[in-house]
Amino acid sequence: MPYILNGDKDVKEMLKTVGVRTVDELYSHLPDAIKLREGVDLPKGLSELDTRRKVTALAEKNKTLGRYNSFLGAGYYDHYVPSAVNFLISHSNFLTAYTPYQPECSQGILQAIYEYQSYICLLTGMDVSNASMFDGASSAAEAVLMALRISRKQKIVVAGLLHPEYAQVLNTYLSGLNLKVVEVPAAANGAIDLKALQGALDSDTGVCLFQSPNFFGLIEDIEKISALAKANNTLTVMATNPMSLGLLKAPGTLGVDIVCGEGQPLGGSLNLGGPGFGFLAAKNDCLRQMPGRIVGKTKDRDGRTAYCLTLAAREQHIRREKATSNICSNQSLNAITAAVYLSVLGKEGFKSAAANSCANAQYLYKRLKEMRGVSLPYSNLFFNEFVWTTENAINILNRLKEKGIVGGYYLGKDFVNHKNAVLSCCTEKKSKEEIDTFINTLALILHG
Amino acid sequence: MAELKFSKTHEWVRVEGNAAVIGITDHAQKELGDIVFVELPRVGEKVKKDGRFGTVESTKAASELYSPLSGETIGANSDLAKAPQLVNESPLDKGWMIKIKIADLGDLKDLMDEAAYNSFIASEKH
Repeated sequence: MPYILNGDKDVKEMLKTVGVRTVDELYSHLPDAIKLREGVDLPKGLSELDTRRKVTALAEKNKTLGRYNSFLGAGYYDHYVPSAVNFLISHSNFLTAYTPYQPECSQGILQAIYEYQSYICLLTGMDVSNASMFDGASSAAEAVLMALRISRKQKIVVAGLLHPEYAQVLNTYLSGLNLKVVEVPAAANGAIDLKALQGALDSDTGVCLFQSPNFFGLIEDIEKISALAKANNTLTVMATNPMSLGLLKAPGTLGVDIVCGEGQPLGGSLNLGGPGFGFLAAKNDCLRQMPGRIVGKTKDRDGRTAYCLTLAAREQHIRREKATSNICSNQSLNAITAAVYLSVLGKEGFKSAAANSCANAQYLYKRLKEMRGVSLPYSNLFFNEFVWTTENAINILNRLKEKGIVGGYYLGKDFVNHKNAVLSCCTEKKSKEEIDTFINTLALILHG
Repeated sequence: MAELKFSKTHEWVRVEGNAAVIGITDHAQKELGDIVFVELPRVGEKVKKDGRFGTVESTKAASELYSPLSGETIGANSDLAKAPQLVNESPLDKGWMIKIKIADLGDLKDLMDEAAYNSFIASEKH
Protein backbone atom coordinates (compact mmCIF):
# COMPACT_ATOMS: atom_id res chain seq x y z
CA MET A 1 0.00 0.00 0.00
CA PRO A 2 1.56 3.35 -1.01
CA TYR A 3 1.62 6.26 1.42
CA ILE A 4 0.16 9.40 -0.18
CA LEU A 5 -0.17 12.75 1.60
CA ASN A 6 -3.60 14.28 2.04
CA GLY A 7 -4.34 17.06 -0.46
CA ASP A 8 -5.94 20.37 0.56
CA LYS A 9 -9.31 19.18 -0.69
CA ASP A 10 -9.10 16.02 1.45
CA VAL A 11 -8.10 18.03 4.53
CA LYS A 12 -11.00 20.48 4.07
CA GLU A 13 -13.48 17.63 3.75
CA MET A 14 -12.14 15.84 6.85
CA LEU A 15 -12.20 19.04 8.93
CA LYS A 16 -15.78 19.68 7.86
CA THR A 17 -16.83 16.13 8.83
CA VAL A 18 -15.12 16.36 12.21
CA GLY A 19 -16.64 19.80 12.80
CA VAL A 20 -13.60 22.07 13.15
CA ARG A 21 -12.37 24.88 10.91
CA THR A 22 -8.60 24.39 11.09
CA VAL A 23 -6.16 21.60 11.94
CA ASP A 24 -4.86 23.77 14.82
CA GLU A 25 -8.29 23.51 16.44
CA LEU A 26 -7.68 19.78 16.89
CA TYR A 27 -4.85 20.70 19.30
CA SER A 28 -6.85 23.29 21.26
CA HIS A 29 -6.92 21.05 24.34
CA LEU A 30 -3.11 21.12 24.64
CA PRO A 31 -1.32 23.77 26.76
CA ASP A 32 0.12 26.66 24.72
CA ALA A 33 3.51 26.17 26.35
CA ILE A 34 4.12 22.90 24.50
CA LYS A 35 2.79 23.96 21.12
CA LEU A 36 5.11 24.73 18.24
CA ARG A 37 5.26 28.52 17.70
CA GLU A 38 7.53 29.02 14.70
CA GLY A 39 8.16 26.55 11.91
CA VAL A 40 10.73 23.77 12.24
CA ASP A 41 14.28 24.86 11.40
CA LEU A 42 15.08 22.67 8.41
CA PRO A 43 17.33 23.47 5.44
CA LYS A 44 15.78 24.09 2.04
CA GLY A 45 14.66 20.93 0.24
CA LEU A 46 17.09 19.38 -2.24
CA SER A 47 16.32 18.11 -5.71
CA GLU A 48 16.18 14.37 -6.20
CA LEU A 49 19.61 14.45 -7.91
CA ASP A 50 21.23 16.48 -5.10
CA THR A 51 19.59 14.29 -2.47
CA ARG A 52 20.93 11.20 -4.18
CA ARG A 53 24.44 12.73 -4.25
CA LYS A 54 24.30 13.72 -0.59
CA VAL A 55 23.01 10.38 0.67
CA THR A 56 25.49 8.45 -1.47
CA ALA A 57 28.34 10.48 0.02
CA LEU A 58 27.13 9.63 3.50
CA ALA A 59 26.77 5.93 2.65
CA GLU A 60 30.31 5.88 1.24
CA LYS A 61 31.59 6.58 4.75
CA ASN A 62 30.64 2.99 5.66
CA LYS A 63 32.96 0.23 4.67
CA THR A 64 30.69 -2.63 3.67
CA LEU A 65 31.77 -6.20 4.21
CA GLY A 66 31.56 -6.94 0.49
CA ARG A 67 34.68 -4.79 0.00
CA TYR A 68 36.72 -6.98 2.32
CA ASN A 69 37.96 -10.54 2.33
CA SER A 70 36.32 -11.30 5.65
CA PHE A 71 36.78 -14.18 8.06
CA LEU A 72 34.44 -12.75 10.66
CA GLY A 73 31.95 -15.06 12.40
CA ALA A 74 31.27 -15.18 16.13
CA GLY A 75 27.50 -15.51 15.93
CA TYR A 76 26.62 -13.82 12.64
CA TYR A 77 27.64 -15.53 9.40
CA ASP A 78 28.08 -14.45 5.80
CA HIS A 79 26.36 -17.21 3.83
CA TYR A 80 25.20 -16.89 0.26
CA VAL A 81 21.56 -15.90 -0.09
CA PRO A 82 20.14 -16.88 -3.51
CA SER A 83 18.34 -14.06 -5.35
CA ALA A 84 15.13 -16.04 -5.28
CA VAL A 85 14.94 -15.60 -1.51
CA ASN A 86 14.95 -11.80 -1.51
CA PHE A 87 12.63 -11.72 -4.47
CA LEU A 88 10.05 -13.89 -2.72
CA ILE A 89 10.17 -12.18 0.65
CA SER A 90 9.94 -8.76 -1.02
CA HIS A 91 6.35 -9.59 -1.86
CA SER A 92 4.49 -6.76 -0.12
CA ASN A 93 2.22 -9.25 1.67
CA PHE A 94 5.28 -10.55 3.50
CA LEU A 95 7.37 -7.39 3.57
CA THR A 96 4.88 -4.87 4.89
CA ALA A 97 2.63 -6.94 7.14
CA TYR A 98 2.70 -5.96 10.80
CA THR A 99 1.73 -8.56 13.41
CA PRO A 100 -0.22 -10.53 10.79
CA TYR A 101 -1.94 -12.97 13.12
CA GLN A 102 -5.63 -12.55 12.42
CA PRO A 103 -6.71 -15.80 10.77
CA GLU A 104 -9.56 -14.17 8.83
CA CYS A 105 -7.12 -12.20 6.69
CA SER A 106 -3.65 -13.72 7.18
CA GLN A 107 -3.91 -17.36 6.10
CA GLY A 108 -0.95 -17.00 3.72
CA ILE A 109 1.45 -15.64 6.33
CA LEU A 110 0.19 -17.98 9.04
CA GLN A 111 0.83 -20.91 6.75
CA ALA A 112 4.31 -19.56 5.98
CA ILE A 113 5.06 -19.26 9.69
CA TYR A 114 3.71 -22.79 10.26
CA GLU A 115 6.11 -24.04 7.61
CA TYR A 116 8.95 -22.13 9.27
CA GLN A 117 8.08 -23.87 12.54
CA SER A 118 8.07 -27.21 10.75
CA TYR A 119 11.52 -26.57 9.26
CA ILE A 120 12.92 -25.69 12.68
CA CYS A 121 11.53 -28.95 14.10
CA LEU A 122 13.13 -30.89 11.24
CA LEU A 123 16.53 -29.26 11.76
CA THR A 124 16.56 -29.51 15.55
CA GLY A 125 14.89 -32.92 15.91
CA MET A 126 12.25 -31.41 18.17
CA ASP A 127 8.46 -31.78 18.33
CA VAL A 128 7.43 -28.14 18.57
CA SER A 129 8.77 -24.72 17.61
CA ASN A 130 7.41 -21.25 18.22
CA ALA A 131 6.90 -18.61 15.53
CA SER A 132 10.32 -17.08 16.31
CA MET A 133 11.69 -14.60 18.84
CA PHE A 134 13.72 -11.45 18.49
CA ASP A 135 17.25 -12.82 18.46
CA GLY A 136 19.46 -15.67 19.59
CA ALA A 137 20.45 -14.13 22.91
CA SER A 138 16.90 -13.46 24.09
CA SER A 139 15.73 -16.87 22.85
CA ALA A 140 18.40 -18.44 25.07
CA ALA A 141 17.34 -16.38 28.07
CA GLU A 142 13.68 -17.25 27.49
CA ALA A 143 14.58 -20.93 27.06
CA VAL A 144 16.31 -20.90 30.45
CA LEU A 145 13.27 -19.32 32.12
CA MET A 146 11.06 -21.83 30.33
CA ALA A 147 13.13 -24.72 31.66
CA LEU A 148 12.97 -23.32 35.17
CA ARG A 149 9.17 -23.11 35.00
CA ILE A 150 8.97 -26.71 33.85
CA SER A 151 11.39 -28.02 36.46
CA ARG A 152 10.04 -25.73 39.22
CA LYS A 153 13.61 -25.36 40.50
CA GLN A 154 15.74 -22.29 41.17
CA LYS A 155 19.27 -23.03 40.00
CA ILE A 156 20.85 -22.52 36.58
CA VAL A 157 24.13 -24.02 35.40
CA VAL A 158 25.81 -22.27 32.46
CA ALA A 159 28.42 -24.62 31.05
CA GLY A 160 31.32 -23.83 28.79
CA LEU A 161 31.98 -21.14 26.24
CA LEU A 162 28.69 -19.35 25.73
CA HIS A 163 28.55 -16.32 23.41
CA PRO A 164 29.39 -13.42 25.77
CA GLU A 165 26.41 -11.43 24.55
CA TYR A 166 24.10 -14.34 25.36
CA ALA A 167 25.53 -14.36 28.87
CA GLN A 168 24.96 -10.60 29.19
CA VAL A 169 21.37 -10.83 27.99
CA LEU A 170 20.67 -13.79 30.27
CA ASN A 171 21.98 -11.69 33.15
CA THR A 172 19.58 -8.89 32.23
CA TYR A 173 16.62 -11.27 32.12
CA LEU A 174 17.55 -12.70 35.51
CA SER A 175 18.10 -9.39 37.30
CA GLY A 176 15.57 -8.93 40.05
CA LEU A 177 14.80 -12.65 40.12
CA ASN A 178 15.97 -14.73 43.04
CA LEU A 179 17.78 -17.31 40.93
CA LYS A 180 21.24 -18.78 41.29
CA VAL A 181 23.61 -19.10 38.32
CA VAL A 182 26.60 -21.41 38.52
CA GLU A 183 29.22 -21.23 35.77
CA VAL A 184 31.09 -24.34 34.75
CA PRO A 185 34.17 -23.23 32.85
CA ALA A 186 35.63 -24.90 29.78
CA ALA A 187 38.47 -27.35 30.23
CA ALA A 188 41.91 -26.63 28.83
CA ASN A 189 40.88 -28.20 25.51
CA GLY A 190 38.09 -25.63 25.07
CA ALA A 191 35.24 -28.06 25.65
CA ILE A 192 32.96 -28.24 28.70
CA ASP A 193 34.71 -29.86 31.66
CA LEU A 194 32.33 -32.83 32.09
CA LYS A 195 33.65 -33.73 35.56
CA ALA A 196 33.15 -30.15 36.73
CA LEU A 197 29.67 -30.15 35.16
CA GLN A 198 28.71 -33.31 37.03
CA GLY A 199 29.96 -31.72 40.22
CA ALA A 200 27.94 -28.56 39.65
CA LEU A 201 24.64 -30.37 39.05
CA ASP A 202 22.63 -30.86 42.22
CA SER A 203 19.01 -31.51 43.24
CA ASP A 204 18.20 -27.84 42.90
CA THR A 205 19.51 -27.44 39.35
CA GLY A 206 16.59 -26.86 37.03
CA VAL A 207 18.47 -26.21 33.81
CA CYS A 208 21.86 -26.48 32.18
CA LEU A 209 22.53 -23.98 29.37
CA PHE A 210 25.36 -24.61 26.93
CA GLN A 211 26.29 -23.75 23.36
CA SER A 212 27.45 -26.09 20.62
CA PRO A 213 29.35 -25.33 18.48
CA ASN A 214 30.58 -23.18 21.37
CA PHE A 215 31.82 -19.61 21.12
CA PHE A 216 35.31 -20.82 20.20
CA GLY A 217 33.76 -22.87 17.38
CA LEU A 218 34.27 -26.25 19.06
CA ILE A 219 31.66 -29.00 18.97
CA GLU A 220 30.68 -30.20 22.44
CA ASP A 221 29.89 -33.77 23.52
CA ILE A 222 26.14 -33.17 23.46
CA GLU A 223 25.13 -36.74 24.24
CA LYS A 224 27.28 -36.90 27.38
CA ILE A 225 26.11 -33.48 28.57
CA SER A 226 22.45 -34.44 28.09
CA ALA A 227 22.98 -37.75 29.87
CA LEU A 228 24.61 -36.07 32.87
CA ALA A 229 21.80 -33.56 33.08
CA LYS A 230 19.07 -36.19 32.71
CA ALA A 231 20.62 -38.32 35.43
CA ASN A 232 20.30 -35.30 37.68
CA ASN A 233 16.71 -34.44 36.61
CA THR A 234 18.00 -31.27 35.01
CA LEU A 235 16.72 -29.93 31.70
CA THR A 236 19.16 -29.00 28.94
CA VAL A 237 19.01 -25.88 26.80
CA MET A 238 21.39 -25.89 23.86
CA ALA A 239 22.13 -22.75 21.88
CA THR A 240 23.35 -23.51 18.39
CA ASN A 241 24.10 -22.17 14.93
CA PRO A 242 21.24 -23.51 12.78
CA MET A 243 23.55 -23.80 9.78
CA SER A 244 25.59 -26.38 11.71
CA LEU A 245 22.49 -28.57 11.79
CA GLY A 246 22.95 -29.12 8.07
CA LEU A 247 25.94 -31.21 8.96
CA LEU A 248 25.68 -32.22 12.61
CA LYS A 249 23.17 -34.50 14.31
CA ALA A 250 19.91 -32.93 15.41
CA PRO A 251 20.15 -32.10 19.12
CA GLY A 252 16.68 -33.57 19.73
CA THR A 253 18.08 -36.98 18.83
CA LEU A 254 20.90 -36.55 21.33
CA GLY A 255 18.75 -35.97 24.41
CA VAL A 256 18.57 -32.18 24.48
CA ASP A 257 15.29 -30.80 25.87
CA ILE A 258 15.20 -27.28 24.37
CA VAL A 259 17.14 -25.86 21.41
CA CYS A 260 17.53 -22.18 20.62
CA GLY A 261 19.83 -19.82 18.76
CA GLU A 262 20.26 -17.05 16.23
CA GLY A 263 18.49 -17.67 12.93
CA GLN A 264 20.38 -15.08 10.86
CA PRO A 265 22.50 -17.69 9.04
CA LEU A 266 19.31 -19.02 7.43
CA GLY A 267 18.92 -16.60 4.54
CA GLY A 268 19.58 -13.44 6.52
CA SER A 269 22.14 -10.87 5.40
CA LEU A 270 24.58 -9.32 7.87
CA ASN A 271 22.87 -5.88 7.74
CA LEU A 272 25.00 -4.12 10.38
CA GLY A 273 24.20 -6.89 12.86
CA GLY A 274 20.44 -7.19 12.56
CA PRO A 275 17.57 -7.72 12.48
CA GLY A 276 17.79 -11.48 12.78
CA PHE A 277 15.55 -13.78 14.76
CA GLY A 278 15.71 -16.27 17.57
CA PHE A 279 14.42 -19.78 17.18
CA LEU A 280 13.14 -21.94 20.03
CA ALA A 281 12.12 -25.56 19.80
CA ALA A 282 11.38 -28.24 22.37
CA LYS A 283 9.91 -31.64 23.04
CA ASN A 284 6.13 -31.98 23.22
CA ASP A 285 5.90 -32.13 26.98
CA CYS A 286 7.48 -28.67 27.22
CA LEU A 287 4.88 -27.12 24.92
CA ARG A 288 2.69 -25.50 27.58
CA GLN A 289 5.60 -23.53 29.00
CA MET A 290 6.89 -22.30 25.66
CA PRO A 291 7.01 -18.52 25.20
CA GLY A 292 6.15 -16.69 22.01
CA ARG A 293 3.56 -16.99 19.32
CA ILE A 294 2.75 -20.45 18.02
CA VAL A 295 0.88 -21.11 14.79
CA GLY A 296 -1.27 -24.21 14.64
CA LYS A 297 -2.97 -26.08 11.85
CA THR A 298 -6.68 -26.74 12.21
CA LYS A 299 -9.95 -26.88 10.26
CA ASP A 300 -12.38 -24.04 9.70
CA ARG A 301 -16.13 -24.53 10.15
CA ASP A 302 -16.42 -25.82 6.57
CA GLY A 303 -13.81 -28.48 7.22
CA ARG A 304 -11.07 -26.79 5.19
CA THR A 305 -7.46 -26.65 6.41
CA ALA A 306 -6.80 -23.36 8.20
CA TYR A 307 -3.99 -21.83 10.26
CA CYS A 308 -4.26 -19.74 13.40
CA LEU A 309 -2.37 -18.79 16.52
CA THR A 310 -2.81 -21.42 19.18
CA LEU A 311 -2.26 -22.08 22.89
CA ALA A 312 -2.88 -18.40 23.50
CA ALA A 313 -3.59 -19.00 27.17
CA ARG A 314 0.22 -19.06 27.70
CA GLU A 315 0.49 -15.46 26.63
CA GLN A 316 0.33 -12.21 28.54
CA HIS A 317 -2.87 -10.85 27.02
CA ILE A 318 -4.62 -13.71 28.80
CA ARG A 319 -2.32 -14.74 31.66
CA ARG A 320 -0.92 -11.29 32.48
CA GLU A 321 1.98 -11.59 34.92
CA LYS A 322 1.64 -15.40 34.98
CA ALA A 323 2.30 -15.65 31.24
CA THR A 324 5.26 -17.63 29.94
CA SER A 325 6.75 -14.38 28.64
CA ASN A 326 5.80 -10.82 27.70
CA ILE A 327 6.74 -11.42 24.08
CA CYS A 328 3.64 -10.90 21.97
CA SER A 329 5.12 -10.75 18.51
CA ASN A 330 7.68 -12.51 16.36
CA GLN A 331 10.20 -11.75 13.63
CA SER A 332 7.79 -12.84 10.90
CA LEU A 333 9.72 -11.56 7.92
CA ASN A 334 13.07 -12.98 9.08
CA ALA A 335 11.52 -16.30 10.06
CA ILE A 336 9.70 -16.59 6.74
CA THR A 337 12.98 -15.68 5.02
CA ALA A 338 14.53 -18.69 6.75
CA ALA A 339 11.74 -20.95 5.52
CA VAL A 340 12.10 -19.61 1.97
CA TYR A 341 15.89 -19.99 2.13
CA LEU A 342 15.63 -23.61 3.24
CA SER A 343 13.04 -24.41 0.59
CA VAL A 344 15.15 -22.78 -2.15
CA LEU A 345 18.30 -24.63 -1.09
CA GLY A 346 16.46 -27.86 -0.40
CA LYS A 347 17.85 -30.61 1.81
CA GLU A 348 20.87 -31.30 -0.40
CA GLY A 349 21.66 -27.63 -0.98
CA PHE A 350 21.52 -26.91 2.73
CA LYS A 351 23.72 -29.89 3.59
CA SER A 352 26.10 -28.74 0.88
CA ALA A 353 26.33 -25.16 2.20
CA ALA A 354 27.04 -26.46 5.69
CA ALA A 355 29.57 -29.02 4.47
CA ASN A 356 31.40 -26.46 2.34
CA SER A 357 31.53 -23.99 5.24
CA CYS A 358 33.16 -26.69 7.32
CA ALA A 359 35.53 -27.80 4.55
CA ASN A 360 36.70 -24.25 3.93
CA ALA A 361 37.32 -23.72 7.63
CA GLN A 362 39.28 -26.99 7.72
CA TYR A 363 41.45 -25.75 4.83
CA LEU A 364 42.14 -22.45 6.59
CA TYR A 365 43.01 -24.38 9.76
CA LYS A 366 45.41 -26.60 7.83
CA ARG A 367 47.19 -23.63 6.23
CA LEU A 368 47.44 -21.73 9.53
CA LYS A 369 48.86 -24.84 11.18
CA GLU A 370 51.80 -24.62 8.77
CA MET A 371 52.40 -20.94 9.51
CA ARG A 372 55.38 -19.99 11.62
CA GLY A 373 54.34 -17.54 14.35
CA VAL A 374 50.79 -18.85 14.58
CA SER A 375 49.51 -21.34 17.16
CA LEU A 376 46.32 -23.35 17.16
CA PRO A 377 45.47 -23.96 20.81
CA TYR A 378 42.52 -26.34 20.31
CA SER A 379 42.38 -29.61 18.43
CA ASN A 380 38.77 -30.72 18.98
CA LEU A 381 36.36 -30.83 16.05
CA PHE A 382 34.91 -27.53 14.91
CA PHE A 383 32.17 -26.56 12.45
CA ASN A 384 32.97 -23.31 10.63
CA GLU A 385 35.27 -21.34 12.93
CA PHE A 386 38.24 -21.85 15.22
CA VAL A 387 40.78 -20.02 17.36
CA TRP A 388 44.35 -19.15 16.42
CA THR A 389 46.85 -17.08 18.33
CA THR A 390 49.77 -14.91 17.39
CA GLU A 391 51.92 -12.34 19.18
CA ASN A 392 50.37 -8.90 19.21
CA ALA A 393 47.19 -10.16 17.58
CA ILE A 394 45.49 -6.72 17.50
CA ASN A 395 48.36 -5.26 15.57
CA ILE A 396 48.31 -8.15 13.11
CA LEU A 397 44.56 -7.76 12.60
CA ASN A 398 44.96 -4.05 11.91
CA ARG A 399 47.66 -4.68 9.35
CA LEU A 400 45.49 -7.32 7.68
CA LYS A 401 42.64 -4.81 7.49
CA GLU A 402 44.92 -2.31 5.75
CA LYS A 403 45.35 -4.97 3.09
CA GLY A 404 41.59 -5.44 2.75
CA ILE A 405 41.31 -8.52 4.97
CA VAL A 406 39.17 -8.81 8.09
CA GLY A 407 41.09 -11.57 9.81
CA GLY A 408 38.50 -12.52 12.40
CA TYR A 409 36.97 -11.67 15.75
CA TYR A 410 39.44 -10.48 18.36
CA LEU A 411 38.82 -12.61 21.45
CA GLY A 412 40.83 -10.38 23.77
CA LYS A 413 37.79 -8.09 23.76
CA ASP A 414 35.80 -10.54 25.88
CA PHE A 415 38.35 -12.92 27.37
CA VAL A 416 41.18 -11.56 29.53
CA ASN A 417 43.22 -14.74 29.14
CA HIS A 418 43.07 -14.65 25.36
CA LYS A 419 44.73 -11.35 24.57
CA ASN A 420 46.41 -12.82 21.48
CA ALA A 421 43.58 -14.95 20.18
CA VAL A 422 41.47 -14.53 17.07
CA LEU A 423 38.33 -16.43 16.07
CA SER A 424 38.29 -16.95 12.30
CA CYS A 425 35.39 -18.27 10.27
CA CYS A 426 34.81 -19.58 6.77
CA THR A 427 31.48 -19.99 5.06
CA GLU A 428 30.70 -21.71 1.76
CA LYS A 429 31.16 -18.25 0.16
CA LYS A 430 34.93 -18.33 0.72
CA SER A 431 36.96 -19.37 -2.30
CA LYS A 432 40.31 -21.14 -2.11
CA GLU A 433 41.88 -18.01 -3.61
CA GLU A 434 40.49 -15.81 -0.85
CA ILE A 435 41.79 -18.16 1.82
CA ASP A 436 45.20 -18.36 0.11
CA THR A 437 45.30 -14.55 -0.12
CA PHE A 438 44.66 -14.36 3.64
CA ILE A 439 47.42 -16.87 4.32
CA ASN A 440 49.93 -15.23 1.99
CA THR A 441 49.21 -11.74 3.35
CA LEU A 442 49.52 -12.98 6.92
CA ALA A 443 52.81 -14.67 6.08
CA LEU A 444 54.15 -11.42 4.63
CA ILE A 445 53.07 -9.47 7.73
CA LEU A 446 54.55 -11.99 10.13
CA HIS A 447 57.77 -12.81 8.29
CA GLY A 448 58.32 -9.68 6.16
CA MET B 1 -21.52 -39.52 48.08
CA ALA B 2 -20.31 -37.64 51.13
CA GLU B 3 -21.65 -34.14 51.54
CA LEU B 4 -19.80 -31.50 49.54
CA LYS B 5 -18.63 -28.16 50.85
CA PHE B 6 -18.10 -25.11 48.61
CA SER B 7 -15.88 -22.04 48.43
CA LYS B 8 -16.73 -18.58 47.15
CA THR B 9 -14.24 -19.14 44.30
CA HIS B 10 -16.28 -22.11 43.05
CA GLU B 11 -14.23 -25.03 44.28
CA TRP B 12 -15.88 -28.01 46.03
CA VAL B 13 -14.44 -30.16 48.80
CA ARG B 14 -15.33 -33.76 49.70
CA VAL B 15 -13.92 -34.79 53.05
CA GLU B 16 -12.69 -38.37 53.36
CA GLY B 17 -11.37 -38.85 56.88
CA ASN B 18 -8.50 -36.41 57.28
CA ALA B 19 -8.13 -36.03 53.53
CA ALA B 20 -10.09 -33.83 51.12
CA VAL B 21 -10.78 -34.23 47.41
CA ILE B 22 -11.04 -30.88 45.61
CA GLY B 23 -12.39 -29.84 42.24
CA ILE B 24 -14.39 -27.06 40.58
CA THR B 25 -18.16 -26.81 40.52
CA ASP B 26 -20.59 -27.34 37.68
CA HIS B 27 -21.25 -23.58 37.71
CA ALA B 28 -17.52 -22.92 37.27
CA GLN B 29 -17.06 -25.33 34.38
CA LYS B 30 -20.06 -23.81 32.60
CA GLU B 31 -18.63 -20.31 32.96
CA LEU B 32 -15.22 -21.39 31.71
CA GLY B 33 -16.38 -23.17 28.59
CA ASP B 34 -14.46 -26.05 26.99
CA ILE B 35 -11.50 -26.81 29.21
CA VAL B 36 -8.31 -27.62 27.36
CA PHE B 37 -5.70 -27.84 30.07
CA VAL B 38 -5.42 -28.17 33.84
CA GLU B 39 -2.18 -27.37 35.67
CA LEU B 40 -2.00 -29.15 39.02
CA PRO B 41 0.55 -29.34 41.85
CA ARG B 42 2.86 -32.30 42.33
CA VAL B 43 2.41 -34.81 45.15
CA GLY B 44 4.13 -33.42 48.20
CA GLU B 45 3.50 -29.77 47.36
CA LYS B 46 1.82 -27.81 50.12
CA VAL B 47 -1.34 -25.81 49.48
CA LYS B 48 -2.67 -22.93 51.55
CA LYS B 49 -6.28 -22.01 52.34
CA ASP B 50 -7.36 -19.46 49.69
CA GLY B 51 -3.98 -19.88 47.99
CA ARG B 52 -3.51 -20.76 44.34
CA PHE B 53 -2.94 -24.46 43.71
CA GLY B 54 -3.13 -24.51 39.94
CA THR B 55 -4.66 -23.16 36.77
CA VAL B 56 -7.49 -24.23 34.53
CA GLU B 57 -7.36 -23.13 30.89
CA SER B 58 -10.27 -22.90 28.55
CA THR B 59 -10.11 -21.72 24.95
CA LYS B 60 -10.81 -18.15 26.03
CA ALA B 61 -9.31 -17.74 29.47
CA ALA B 62 -6.94 -19.08 32.08
CA SER B 63 -8.32 -19.11 35.64
CA GLU B 64 -6.55 -19.69 38.91
CA LEU B 65 -7.63 -22.55 41.15
CA TYR B 66 -7.80 -21.67 44.82
CA SER B 67 -7.62 -24.22 47.61
CA PRO B 68 -10.48 -24.03 50.12
CA LEU B 69 -8.25 -25.70 52.74
CA SER B 70 -4.61 -25.85 53.78
CA GLY B 71 -2.72 -29.09 53.49
CA GLU B 72 -0.30 -31.27 51.55
CA THR B 73 -1.02 -32.67 48.09
CA ILE B 74 -1.26 -36.47 48.25
CA GLY B 75 -2.81 -36.99 44.84
CA ALA B 76 -3.55 -35.25 41.56
CA ASN B 77 -5.93 -36.48 38.86
CA SER B 78 -3.61 -37.67 36.10
CA ASP B 79 -6.60 -38.40 33.79
CA LEU B 80 -6.96 -34.66 33.25
CA ALA B 81 -3.70 -34.49 31.28
CA LYS B 82 -5.14 -36.52 28.42
CA ALA B 83 -8.80 -35.72 29.02
CA PRO B 84 -9.24 -32.20 30.42
CA GLN B 85 -12.85 -32.28 29.21
CA LEU B 86 -13.65 -34.56 32.19
CA VAL B 87 -13.89 -31.33 34.18
CA ASN B 88 -16.74 -30.19 31.91
CA GLU B 89 -18.42 -33.60 31.70
CA SER B 90 -18.15 -34.68 35.32
CA PRO B 91 -16.93 -31.78 37.48
CA LEU B 92 -17.88 -33.34 40.81
CA ASP B 93 -16.78 -36.88 40.09
CA LYS B 94 -14.38 -37.93 37.30
CA GLY B 95 -13.17 -34.31 36.94
CA TRP B 96 -11.74 -34.18 40.48
CA MET B 97 -8.45 -32.30 40.63
CA ILE B 98 -6.40 -32.89 43.78
CA LYS B 99 -6.51 -34.82 47.02
CA ILE B 100 -4.90 -33.24 50.06
CA LYS B 101 -4.09 -34.22 53.62
CA ILE B 102 -6.01 -31.59 55.60
CA ALA B 103 -3.82 -29.46 57.86
CA ASP B 104 -6.65 -27.98 59.94
CA LEU B 105 -10.13 -29.55 59.93
CA GLY B 106 -11.38 -26.34 61.58
CA ASP B 107 -11.07 -24.54 58.23
CA LEU B 108 -14.10 -26.49 56.99
CA LYS B 109 -16.44 -24.24 58.97
CA ASP B 110 -15.60 -21.34 56.60
CA LEU B 111 -17.04 -23.24 53.63
CA MET B 112 -20.64 -23.24 52.38
CA ASP B 113 -22.97 -26.21 52.14
CA GLU B 114 -24.80 -26.93 48.88
CA ALA B 115 -27.85 -24.81 49.65
CA ALA B 116 -25.75 -21.82 50.69
CA TYR B 117 -23.58 -22.19 47.58
CA ASN B 118 -26.61 -22.31 45.29
CA SER B 119 -27.94 -19.10 46.88
CA PHE B 120 -24.51 -17.59 46.51
CA ILE B 121 -24.28 -18.23 42.76
CA ALA B 122 -27.87 -17.09 42.28
CA SER B 123 -27.02 -13.79 43.95
CA GLU B 124 -23.81 -13.43 41.91
CA LYS B 125 -25.78 -13.27 38.68
CA HIS B 126 -26.71 -9.75 37.61
